[in-house]
Amino acid sequence: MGQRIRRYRLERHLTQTQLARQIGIQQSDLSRMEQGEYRVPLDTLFKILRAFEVSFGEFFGDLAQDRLTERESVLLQSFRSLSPKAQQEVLDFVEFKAARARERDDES
Amino acid sequence: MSPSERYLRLTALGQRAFARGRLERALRLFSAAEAEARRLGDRELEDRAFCNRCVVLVELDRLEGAVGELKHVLMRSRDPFTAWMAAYYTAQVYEFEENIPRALAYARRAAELAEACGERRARKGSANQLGVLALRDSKFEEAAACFRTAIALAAEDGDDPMNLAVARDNLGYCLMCTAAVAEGMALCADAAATLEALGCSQLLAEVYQDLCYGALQQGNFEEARRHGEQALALARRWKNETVERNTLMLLADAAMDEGEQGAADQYLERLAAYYPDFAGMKAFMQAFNVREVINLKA
Repeated sequence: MGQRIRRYRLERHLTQTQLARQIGIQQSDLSRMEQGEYRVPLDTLFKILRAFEVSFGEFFGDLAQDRLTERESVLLQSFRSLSPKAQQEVLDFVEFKAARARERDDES
Repeated sequence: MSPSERYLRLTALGQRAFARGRLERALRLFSAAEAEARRLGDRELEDRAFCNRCVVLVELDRLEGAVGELKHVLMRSRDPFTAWMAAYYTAQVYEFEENIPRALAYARRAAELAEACGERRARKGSANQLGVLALRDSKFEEAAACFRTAIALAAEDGDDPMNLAVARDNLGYCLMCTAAVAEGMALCADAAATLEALGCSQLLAEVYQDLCYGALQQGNFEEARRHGEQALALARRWKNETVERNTLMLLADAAMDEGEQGAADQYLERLAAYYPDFAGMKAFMQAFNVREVINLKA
């Protein structure tokens, strides 16, 4: 998260001091936050997002795939219990299904 | 009665009034003692009386205006205990102002002075103050070391079990944040048992919140939910919004980790009510393990 805050801050041409002032924390704390050394209260996390004027979706968009749904977890657990050969068969089948889905999309 | 006797008498009466919770009376008596010290022309005594008055001002939440004078006392006093009081309460003012780095700087100075004067109550007070500030500043290892010192000193002195329980809970949370989760859980559980026995339900909300966090860290979702629900009920009873929000976040996390999306949604909806201008909170919570970046005691 620290890297993300730094990236958004730099994109908005804000210094650490300016952003720290906006969200009501010390510049040194923001610096530590950007380095992942500082944990924040829940409210401060929301203040940061408000300062950037971004939604959660924008801010954490590329992380949205990190957490698995229940079905995905079950699938992953089952997959890991298979032999390497069986895992390859599953991968081939999934690739086959994905290719069919792409073809259907192209046709429509 | 000589002026110095009057000073001692007024101070003793002020201390007694303070101990009985009669704060306005204590304030008047310490102010009178200060005036007496001024009449005596004894600067050290005047400074000590002023610091005594600050002890009451903290309780009355009126210390803010005293910070300038406290700094002067810290610089000029040759008496280590008076200087310790000045540093300690200056740190307190900055903590109230949420200026934690500055508060920490004064708290560290106070801790040095506590060692210099050798007074146990000063060492104990400073260890606890430094611990609380380091914890708020996410310096968990430093905070843990301070709480260990404070607890050891307090236990030797047979201190108030409620204060000891709070210190144990704080140490427990620090340990949970430094990967010593099992030891942290044991300390928090011990604190919870003490506070339950004492009937301090207002303080219990935070301890159950911490136990919920620790159980989550251990992957024990059922236990996390049990502690979280206890924390939530107490937080609502005592209108402790910070604990309520934190716990809703933790409970949502627990439910998601258990794959109980319906329960997670319910907690998240309640949390979202506190942040109406943030659409997409659910997606955020699902995407991000927020408990790793949140300090529950900041």
